[in-house]
Formats: sequence, structure tokens, C-alpha cells
Amino acid sequence: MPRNLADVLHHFGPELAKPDAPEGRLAQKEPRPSSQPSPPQIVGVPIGDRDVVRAAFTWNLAVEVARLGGDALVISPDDVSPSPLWPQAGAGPLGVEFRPTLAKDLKSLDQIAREAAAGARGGAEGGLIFVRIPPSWLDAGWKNCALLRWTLLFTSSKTSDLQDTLKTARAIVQKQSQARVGITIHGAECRAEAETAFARIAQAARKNLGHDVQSYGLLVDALHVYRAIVAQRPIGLAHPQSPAARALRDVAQLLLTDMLRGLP
Amino acid sequence: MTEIQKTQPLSIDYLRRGVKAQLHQLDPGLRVIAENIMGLASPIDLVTVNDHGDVILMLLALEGESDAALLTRSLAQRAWVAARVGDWAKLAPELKISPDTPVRAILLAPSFATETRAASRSLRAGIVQLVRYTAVRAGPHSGLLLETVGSRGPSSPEGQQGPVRKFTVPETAPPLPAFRSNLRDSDLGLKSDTEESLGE
Repeated sequence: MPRNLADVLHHFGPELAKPDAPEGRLAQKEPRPSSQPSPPQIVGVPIGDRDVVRAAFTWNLAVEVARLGGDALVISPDDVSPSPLWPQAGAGPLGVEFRPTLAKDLKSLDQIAREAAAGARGGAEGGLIFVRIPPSWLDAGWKNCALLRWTLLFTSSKTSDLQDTLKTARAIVQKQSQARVGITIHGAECRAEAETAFARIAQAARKNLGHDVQSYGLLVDALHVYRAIVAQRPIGLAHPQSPAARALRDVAQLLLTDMLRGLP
Repeated sequence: MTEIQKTQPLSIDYLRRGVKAQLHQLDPGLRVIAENIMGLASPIDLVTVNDHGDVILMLLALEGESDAALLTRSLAQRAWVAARVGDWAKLAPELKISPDTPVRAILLAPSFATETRAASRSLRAGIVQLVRYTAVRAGPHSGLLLETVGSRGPSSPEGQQGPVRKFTVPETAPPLPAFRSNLRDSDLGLKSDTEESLGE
């Protein structure tokens, strides 16, 4: 039984509109000719130097964004080649590019991300630029740091992980009070577990940080995820009907919907 | 004595949650069946159904956004939804949607320009309702005051505010952000969410 009309809406409606048609709220705030595409938005993703799983989630989300019609780019400060976290540098499946950078701190990484967004403004259709932020760099954030305006945090439902994620959210919100902090739960054994985990962190964030976090669904830790990491092949292309691919697609759709809304 | 202060909603998500919590001010029979769903080229903030099964869309605007554009968008979304209501009623009969009644829209904004009020009045009665909101904070509590705008009665002069329908200070903070996912355990190859839940 459908719990929500949104569960079934996609059967009748078109897929998520391409981000080059921002006729909604964003367009009202910043009117522009319909022929001009919206610039891509930057999503900062705190990922440790050896966090292969979260890097894989990010790369696969970028591919899903492309599958849904958006443009996607992944930027990461990595000076090791080839990186243990990412596929080969350059354009990959569906034009999704991985771009390693030599940024040494948050400021230079922020500048690189801004330049990438500005560079994509001319010809691209708009989309998302995922930027890996080494967690230790977060303390150096500042008020206008583009990387912190919209962030996506992956966490399992374990209490220790949720506490770490809350700390990360605190570091972000202290620097950027209007930040949109997104939370994606991974590794849950059922949807209810993910819902409960999100409710816990949402409650803790409001109570301790005075800030509301935003849900970006859940991802499953399926065998396909690990196979995809090893093979460096996007799950959505290798196993498009797998639960892991469905979950990634759902999260990508939430990201694209919020992209159309613009940032707070 | 707690001082009541006017505020601005932090974001559209925050505003949506506030409106959702205060729907009873507009119509106690309203229930939300979907929120923040992709409509025609832009999201529809809330899709609601009243006691009669009428589908009523709610579109929200933050301070600084164009109320005229909101009206245009509501008409477009209304047409988009009207073409699908029949399918929704068949697919989800438990929602008790009436597929034969016109889809309506309620627009919520901090204020409405004279032209927007006049334009909404020119539409068939009941199609578009304008509601002005004021975000307030009283100590640790925050909420929305909702006020209907632009009475349709012939005695209402052009541009005059309609009668205040209800004007109450909510006593609770907006609900916590909702978990969002369009997938269920069966989609994810996970065990049923009724089998086990993570308790605290």
C-alpha cells in the first residue's frame, strides 16, 4: 500500500526535469532567460583519505545524477596517482568527470570548486559538483565558504557514527549558519532503522546545534557496492536493477530536486 | 512575559514544515498526501486532500520571491496535477481522492501584490486561495500565523485584506525534518521494516 503519493508518482509523471529548466523557485529569485542554464551547485562531501566506501557512494551518486539528466563532476584533493579512492582521472561513464586537484587546504579547494562551477556555467546544463573535503580541513571553514553551503554526510545508524556525524555537522554549522547539511544513512538493515537513525541525528542537531539537517534517503551496503568499488564500475550501469542502484538513484533524485530549489 | 518577535523562515524546507504543522488553521480536514514532489518543471510543496476528497495544492514563497510567479506556477501545477488525479485515485484508493472535482491551490506568501490578488479573484471561485503568513518566535517556540487574503465577496474592495480566519500563536516548534526516501524495504532487498526496528 503506498504510504505517500510520491511513492507512485514517477509511474505517471515524467522523470525529474532537467536542471536547465529552472522554472520554479530558483527562477523567481534570480530571473534569467530560459535559454540560460542554471550553474551547477557545489556539494561538499566530507570523506577521509582512506574512506573507500563513502568515496564509492559519492562517485556512484554522480553517475546517477548523470543518468537522471544532470551534469556531474567529482573533485577531490588527491596527490596520489592513481588514487585508491577514485577511478581514473578524466571523463568517465556518461561524461561524469573525476578531477583530482592539488589543493592543500579548504580555501584553495573552495577556490577550485568555485572556478569549476563558473567554468561549467557557459555550456553545461547545470548539475552538481561533488567535492571531497578531508574532514580535518573543516575547522578552517569561513562564512562564505561555498563548500560548506551544501554538504552531504554519509553515516551508518551506529551510535558512534551518528555522534561523529553530529560533530562534523557542528563544524559545518559553526562556520556556515545557513548551511544545508544533508544526511544519508547507509548500511541499515531495514528502512525503519534508517528512519530511526535519521530521526536521532535530526533531533540531536536541533537540540545541540540549533540547526535542522536534511534527509537524503538511505543507501544499502550490498555486495554490488563492493564489487563496484573493486571494479571501479558504476553500480547504476553495471547492475541498474540492483537495490544498491535503486537507492543511489533515489538519493540522486532528492539531490537534484533540492538543486532546483536553490540554496537557503 | 515572553516577547513575540517576527522572524523569517530559514528556508523553504523550514517553511514547509511550519505550514504542515499549521494546516488545521486553514481547514481541519486537510491531510498531506505528498510533499516536495516534482511537478511540472518545479516542485509542488504540499499536495493535500480535504474531507471531500478534493485535491488542494499548496505552493509556498519566501520573502523576496515573486507572488505573481507563484500564481502562474500554481495554475501550471494545477493543470499538471488535474491530468493525473484520475490515475492517483485508481492507484491509491485509500487516499480517497475525488477525481471529478477541480484541483485547487492555496498560495502562501508573506504578502501579495494588488495585481496578484486581482488575478486570483478573476479565476473561478475556490480555484486559488491566497494566504499570507507571518513567521513568529515566542521564546523557544516558533510558528506561523496564517491569514486568508482577498475575500471574493462583492463587498470586498479591490486589494482589501479579507477577514482574518484564524490568528493563533502555535505553542510548539515545527516538526523535525522528515526522513526522505521513495523506496521501501522490498525495493532495497532488505527485510521488512515491520520485522525489527531500532529502538533507543
